[in-house]
Amino acid sequence: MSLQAPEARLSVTDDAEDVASSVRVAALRVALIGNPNCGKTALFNALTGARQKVANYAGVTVERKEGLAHRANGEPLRVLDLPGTYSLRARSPDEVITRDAALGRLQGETPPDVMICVADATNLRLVLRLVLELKQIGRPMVLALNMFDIAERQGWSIDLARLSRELDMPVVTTVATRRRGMDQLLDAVESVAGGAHEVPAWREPSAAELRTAHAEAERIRKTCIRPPSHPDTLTGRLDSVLLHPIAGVAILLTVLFLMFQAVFSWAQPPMDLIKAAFDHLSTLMTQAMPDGVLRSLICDGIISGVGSVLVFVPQIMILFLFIILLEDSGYMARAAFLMDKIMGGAGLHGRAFIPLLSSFACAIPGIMGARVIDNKRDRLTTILVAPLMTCSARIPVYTLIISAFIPNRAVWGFASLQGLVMFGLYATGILSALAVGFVVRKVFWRGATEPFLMELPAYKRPDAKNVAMGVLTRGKIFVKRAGTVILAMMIVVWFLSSVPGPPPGAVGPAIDYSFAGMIGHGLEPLLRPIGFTWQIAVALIPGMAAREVAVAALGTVYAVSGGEGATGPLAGVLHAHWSLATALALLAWYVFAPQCAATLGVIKRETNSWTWPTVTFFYMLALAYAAAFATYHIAQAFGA
Amino acid sequence: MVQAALAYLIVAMAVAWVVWRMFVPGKVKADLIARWRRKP
Repeated sequence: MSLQAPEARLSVTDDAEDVASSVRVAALRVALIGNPNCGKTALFNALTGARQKVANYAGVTVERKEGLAHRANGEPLRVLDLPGTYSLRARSPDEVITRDAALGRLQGETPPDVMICVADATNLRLVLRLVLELKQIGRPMVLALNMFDIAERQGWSIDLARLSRELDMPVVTTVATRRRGMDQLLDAVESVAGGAHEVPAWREPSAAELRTAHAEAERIRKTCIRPPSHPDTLTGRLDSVLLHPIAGVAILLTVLFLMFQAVFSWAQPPMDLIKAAFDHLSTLMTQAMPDGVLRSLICDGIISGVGSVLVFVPQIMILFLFIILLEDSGYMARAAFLMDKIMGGAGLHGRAFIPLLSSFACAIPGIMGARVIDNKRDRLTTILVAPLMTCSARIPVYTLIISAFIPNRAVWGFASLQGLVMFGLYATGILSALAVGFVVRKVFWRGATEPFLMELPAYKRPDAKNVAMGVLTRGKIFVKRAGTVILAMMIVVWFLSSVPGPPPGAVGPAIDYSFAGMIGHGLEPLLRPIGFTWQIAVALIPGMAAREVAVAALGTVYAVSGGEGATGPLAGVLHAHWSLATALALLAWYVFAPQCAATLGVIKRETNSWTWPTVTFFYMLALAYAAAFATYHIAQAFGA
Repeated sequence: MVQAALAYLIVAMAVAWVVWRMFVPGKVKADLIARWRRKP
């Protein structure tokens, strides 16, 4: 799984393209192939320096990623990171990419000059069969035994020289997360690179050939590898608790609950600092510039709009700190295991957990991650429900409304009420995804769900550098969005909110006479039954570009409106203008609303049809309207 | 007057950027960039 938003992934691809174009001569092409979760991506990062998320469970790589490494003599080497696979007999679209890349069947691609088969040194059983299969292709190969430090610590004894002889290829030990063994690996690549190349050929093996290959892999394993005399029992002991059907689920829920509590309590001091900095900047600009259109654009449009979004950077970084720590420690794979039964009950494939988890960052990598699911209906179901998971773009909207309307008091003596509401919103997203999955698979597309097979990695201490890089990347992506999409949209919103100006002798705020006022008032009859004001209607339109833009748009709309209660922090302004029922209805709206043009675009690309983005848009819109309607009227009935 | 002109220039640039980013198909963008780069 990749928890990166698309911008980050694109930057890797862009870098790779730049890299490729800068190396005009045909540099040596090396492909990294291996089982899922063996550390290919970490090895790719270590070799190329490309910054990309390293996850701890199967199916991390869903995109073609290329980077540049340098040999000892300074010559460049193009490294291709391929999706994980157990065999060349591909089942999922991801595995098809790996097989076709290895065989040079992909359009516009030549076969790799050297293949590096990456193996988890603590779990060589399955990879040996893949190595034997890859050998049939006839390209020069190197076997990289990754995570060798863990294998040594666990007491595995591997006869490297004999393994190399048996497989007839160099065998190198590596620890990708600590960049150990990289020079030796590049030397080994260089040593085989000049070898005889055969035209890549492969055919689907028969059952008898499969049995022979399996027996041969077992023979090599028994000859060259001796398991630890004192097997690692820590992972087993931890798993006996963490994978317990009741205690395990309780621990998972507790971990998630604590995570959301921390998001609120830890982020408050840096958020206050950022808010104070933007207030100070706005005051400075107001004092430094004469009253006029430009000052209004800068203070009411840019500073007010962009500032109201940037304030949420600490919360997003803290949330991802937790997610990355859980991934890198190996716990996320256990969470997938625990969730499999629940997901299966809802008609979702076990493998859907990984794309759905990615969707907590952004639905786009989640939807792309659904490629790991081979059954078409299971894959489409996952794509349809992925946008219901609470993406990071919803966080600014949720936290703004929660901080404005939910009192910051303790519940049961230890939990914050605000954190509890946030937890509830996340839970609602998950439950609605399960409910929609259930309806789709049990009502529209009935049929058996395929079993889910996944290997659980050993627990390990997260690498501080990797965690820091991941958190910083998330922060950078968010700030970049604020400086590009959100900035541009805020300028447009300011223009729509300020032009045309009020006629001479007009009473009431100027925004009432503007284009935004006209649009808002035009949409108001549609949104009045769910308790939305015309200002919310104005904010929802630019919010189609990205959900968090709505927060900035509200900041701008209320700043331009002026009048009583329109100054000060945005949360206070909203509290003065909205009822609690309206605020709760907007929260309910945002749990379901299909307000992300990029997500719909990716669904179109992944399904190669306009049908599914259209279906997604309308079913989510209907759910959003119904949920907001129900919430508004129930809250009103309770006097909110 | 100058203030207003500057403000509306910024607005025009923002609109152009939003249109380019959100409404111009990727293939058209790539063709335009390639054509731009080919110019001496």
